[in-house]
Amino acid sequence: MSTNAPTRWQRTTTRVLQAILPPSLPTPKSPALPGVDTKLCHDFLTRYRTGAPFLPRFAFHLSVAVFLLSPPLTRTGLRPALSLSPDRLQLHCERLAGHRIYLLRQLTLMLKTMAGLVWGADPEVRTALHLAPYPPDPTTWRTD
Amino acid sequence: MTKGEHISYRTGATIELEADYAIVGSGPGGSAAAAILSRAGHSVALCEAGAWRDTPHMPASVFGAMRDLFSDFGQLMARGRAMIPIVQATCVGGTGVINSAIVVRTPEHILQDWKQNHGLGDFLTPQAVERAQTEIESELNVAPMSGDQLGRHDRLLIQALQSTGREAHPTTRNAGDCQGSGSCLQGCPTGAKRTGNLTWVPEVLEAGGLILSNAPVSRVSFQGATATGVQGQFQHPDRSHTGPRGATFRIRARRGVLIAASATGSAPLLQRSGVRLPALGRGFRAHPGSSIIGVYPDRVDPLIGTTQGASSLHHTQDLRLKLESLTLPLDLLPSRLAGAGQNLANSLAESSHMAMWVAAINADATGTVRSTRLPTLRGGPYAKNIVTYQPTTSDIARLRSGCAILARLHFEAGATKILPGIHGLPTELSPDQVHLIDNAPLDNRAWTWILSHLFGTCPLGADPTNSVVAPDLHVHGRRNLHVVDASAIPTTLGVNPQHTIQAIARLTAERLANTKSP
Repeated sequence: MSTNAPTRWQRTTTRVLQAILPPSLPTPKSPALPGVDTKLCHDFLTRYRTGAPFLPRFAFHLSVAVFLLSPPLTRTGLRPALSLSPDRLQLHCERLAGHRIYLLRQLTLMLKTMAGLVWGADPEVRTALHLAPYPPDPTTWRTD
Repeated sequence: MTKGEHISYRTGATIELEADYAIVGSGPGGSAAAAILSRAGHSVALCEAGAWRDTPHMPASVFGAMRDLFSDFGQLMARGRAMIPIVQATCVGGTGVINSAIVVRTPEHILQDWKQNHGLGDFLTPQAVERAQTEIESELNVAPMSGDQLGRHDRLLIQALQSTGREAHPTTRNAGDCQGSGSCLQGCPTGAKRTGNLTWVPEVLEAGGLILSNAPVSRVSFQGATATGVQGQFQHPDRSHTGPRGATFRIRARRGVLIAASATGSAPLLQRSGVRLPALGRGFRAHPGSSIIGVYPDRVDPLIGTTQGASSLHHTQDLRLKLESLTLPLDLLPSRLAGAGQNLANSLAESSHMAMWVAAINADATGTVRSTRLPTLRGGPYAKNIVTYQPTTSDIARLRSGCAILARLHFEAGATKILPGIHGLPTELSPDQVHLIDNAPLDNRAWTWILSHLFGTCPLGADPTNSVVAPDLHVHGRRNLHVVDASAIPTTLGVNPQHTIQAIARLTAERLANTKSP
């Protein structure tokens, strides 16, 4: 668990991932599920920074930057994505994920993957879906 | 014989070791060969780039699996018009640790094709392969899945295939005691999956062998044309480790070197070692696949049951593809579903009602693998490997046909809608829209691909101008150097390759073990 206050990049990235994967609405088949949790996301980003090699980290940073700066490409506004109204932000997410430019779709896929890694390991989400919470990753290996 | 030694990450002075055989890579090929040579009384030094993790060390989350098990943090991609993720592991046991443990015997027509068109060693007869695979099945607790091991997503596929007159069967896996936890991708949490790290590698250690983990090999050493050993440098498995760099190691191999560093790793290693053959790194082949998700009115609970419990070989001749069920961990599901934002969240809320089935094609496309000239940023001794691969238009057309079949099978099984995951199509399709898949774009950037079952780059053959290893699997023009993994396989198989890789490695090791002098 991270004990330090989240950095500005972590706070921004968390908001981006929360836009990509917000809480769901209840349906006849399922209850409402939480979206990407702020605290879990901060912890994940700390682990990601230390655990991931340079290239995936670079691609992740690039994905966040493109997401923030691309509202003109999705015709949702001229301001950075996190300054859009909630409705426009949702439209931005949806259009970016299905954009005709392959690279934009791939960068959004990177964000969906990262959001999924946080969301799918959230004990609250797993419990709601009748799945056992993950035990902690041991991060150990055989040395003898 | 006394117990051997496992040497994990070390710092300090260069470590000098000696053995009869040095084996690079501990996946299905390397571990199978190591066990046979060890049983024959030869000393073996088995080098693995990744860490040795037993069952208690296995990660629970997908992030942990990416960090601890997957090659290149799960970011290994085939580059072409589309970026296609490659499922491969770097750890003791290799990709067998994260695959679905499906065991399929080598089709006899494949062996006949190799014999006629590529040349096949006399020791690789259909009878010998069958005998080796029978022995492997006995050693690795291979059994067909049954009872509670099958999840509802498996049963639905079998039911839909049979009701439409197609062949269907539960998969046979080297996990006879599978508990159905749906966690194959994170390494098996129960140890039921009998992979190299739990079986043959400990056996080699018990028999006096040397196991080097966290020990990527940078090159093969030669004296003239004769392979005399390998060298490399230990790497700490924790990327945040800031201590001194790992020690270098050199292994002198008295009788020979066996390369089993995977279809993406063996050719670059030989290139870095100075082997120059026209076919080296070429002829990369695979079984690319894509999935169709069905959403059912009742709960499917796809994470209950084995990861891949149902399969069909019905279309292996006409469309050259196979159909299988597949469970994706919840952490990875958002990357497969279309859309982002509220629509994605609402789709995920139905995940308990989803069944995912995949079509994997026996692709015609070929690609290349090469080593980059740039070193890794951590200053490691081995470079990153670049895979270039692009499914052909006819490959995509066959995949499209397979996905259309899966979509119709989902509706046959009672799904209310399907999620095709194909760019250019609606994110959800109802039964009367399923024909849209028949006309989906033949552009590989429109598809959600996954690349598994990798072959080639050191293909088998008699002619050194279009192959890398001879019919007895020794590298053309070199002595005491063999390739015993998927990279030696000259064609696609159309079925899961692990069993074939193990059999070829085992038979090659048997032949070497019975050779008086190298």
